[in-house]
Amino acid sequence: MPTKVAETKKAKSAATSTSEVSAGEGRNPWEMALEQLDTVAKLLELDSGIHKILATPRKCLTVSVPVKMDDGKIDVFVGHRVQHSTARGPAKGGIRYHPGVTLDEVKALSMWMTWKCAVVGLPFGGGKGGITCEPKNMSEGELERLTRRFISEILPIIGPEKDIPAPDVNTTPQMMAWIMDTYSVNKGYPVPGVVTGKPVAVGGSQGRNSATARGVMYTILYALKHMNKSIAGQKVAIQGYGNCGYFAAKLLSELDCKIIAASTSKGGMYTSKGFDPEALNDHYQRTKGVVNFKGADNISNEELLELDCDILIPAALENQITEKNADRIKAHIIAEGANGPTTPEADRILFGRGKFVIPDILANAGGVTVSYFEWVQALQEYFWSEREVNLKLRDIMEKAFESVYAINTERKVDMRTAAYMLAVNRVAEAHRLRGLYP
Amino acid sequence: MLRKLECYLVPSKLDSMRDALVKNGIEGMSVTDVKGFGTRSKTKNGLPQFEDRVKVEVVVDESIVDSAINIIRDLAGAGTIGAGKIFVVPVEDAIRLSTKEAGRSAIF
Repeated sequence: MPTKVAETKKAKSAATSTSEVSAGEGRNPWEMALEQLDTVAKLLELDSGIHKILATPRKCLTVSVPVKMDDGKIDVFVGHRVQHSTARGPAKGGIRYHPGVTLDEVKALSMWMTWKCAVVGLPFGGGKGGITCEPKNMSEGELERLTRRFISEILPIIGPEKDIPAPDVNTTPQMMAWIMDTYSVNKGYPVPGVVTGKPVAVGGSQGRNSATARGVMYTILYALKHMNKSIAGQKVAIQGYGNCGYFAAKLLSELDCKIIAASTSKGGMYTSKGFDPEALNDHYQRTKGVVNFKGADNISNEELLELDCDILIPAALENQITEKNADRIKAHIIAEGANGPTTPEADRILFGRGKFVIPDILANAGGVTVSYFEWVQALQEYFWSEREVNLKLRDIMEKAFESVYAINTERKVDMRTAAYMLAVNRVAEAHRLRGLYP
Repeated sequence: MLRKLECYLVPSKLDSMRDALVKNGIEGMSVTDVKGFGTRSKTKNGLPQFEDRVKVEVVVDESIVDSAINIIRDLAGAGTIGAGKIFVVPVEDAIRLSTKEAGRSAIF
């Protein structure tokens, strides 16, 4: 049974590829990640030895995680922690709890974290972790025991100077607090820098909640700047009204954009007049969805993607813009708040139609950037104001955007390929400079 | 990060400096007539005397601070006593009122 789920998941999570890489339903994500690397390596004329190093994760640890369930019986789960690269710094990346987690998926995601950290210039490599489980069927106590036992199993390879986990699919700030506690108890002293995405009370950073959306907003602003367009009056449609979608609506609305549509997995809403993001959030908190919002029409997720708007923010799931609907996308700018919302075929179609796609590893890198700030603050034991966090985030996002845009213009490739070229080149440069031991 | 160059200069250099800065991509400046004295100013009865100067304020990205300083220094009579001073001040943020653009975007 889990195999089937795993394979669907594989195909979905593998969608974060460069536009020049072909896709395939049900393909192994790790193979796809390798193919992306091959494509960029050719464009960069990458040294074959460094290519081989980058095509191999530095460390993969698979552990079994026995947990006493609430009914008194013992269940054994399988978890992984993969460190794809530590060339530019300690490994960084989330831990996900999902029935579809496989080692190959975690390997692919960790490689992808390497590129994401490199594209924004953070001093991190890439890592990822996951446990194959269905958290929706587990109690809080079971999740706590699962988290603590998993962390104690991977304890030898994590730490503020080695590998720093963070939240991902189905993992929360509360779980990050348990990770911090488990690691600290084992060390005998508090180590807040071992994990990011913690609640503020145990060393989390101000501004972490809105960080991903804020990064998305900045990249949209810089894209508009290059198009000589003003942000005011831009019509925005947002797929997904979770953390990223809600804050993106709020921040863009503050810049006088007109937010005309939003959706969740249960369906979407549209109003040509634009809506108040706070009011929709209240509605969402009450009804757990955005449909039947006063003054708005109900629409499907598919309709939302094809709306007549200027900016489309896919902030929900993978594989939303495909060869089936890419022809009908009307937005000029597609800013990927989610990971992998655009398939490689769709990427090619959008590029051909002159659409400006801000790729996930750039657009949603605000999250890992503020995770980096959280780690720095933990190491300094000195905390920054939210304003300081936001200004520093803007500085990093702007530099990253401009670097990617410069490659996009010079090499005449789409923004995704440009972002991968920048990232792979930075990691390769670190390998060249460090040399090979012994 | 943004920096403000606050320059106290001899008024006669102003036009050539504006031209050179604009040619090098600086798109805005503010100029104020000021009176002031410095360590090398003329004195009367042992007290420094006010002299006419202009204050030029230019906000630039930190990446072009050095080149802007070089342009101003070369044109403002480097090596001449009383030529003036440049102060480099960190600017936390900038906001363009017409568009709400902020940071570097607000000045370029």
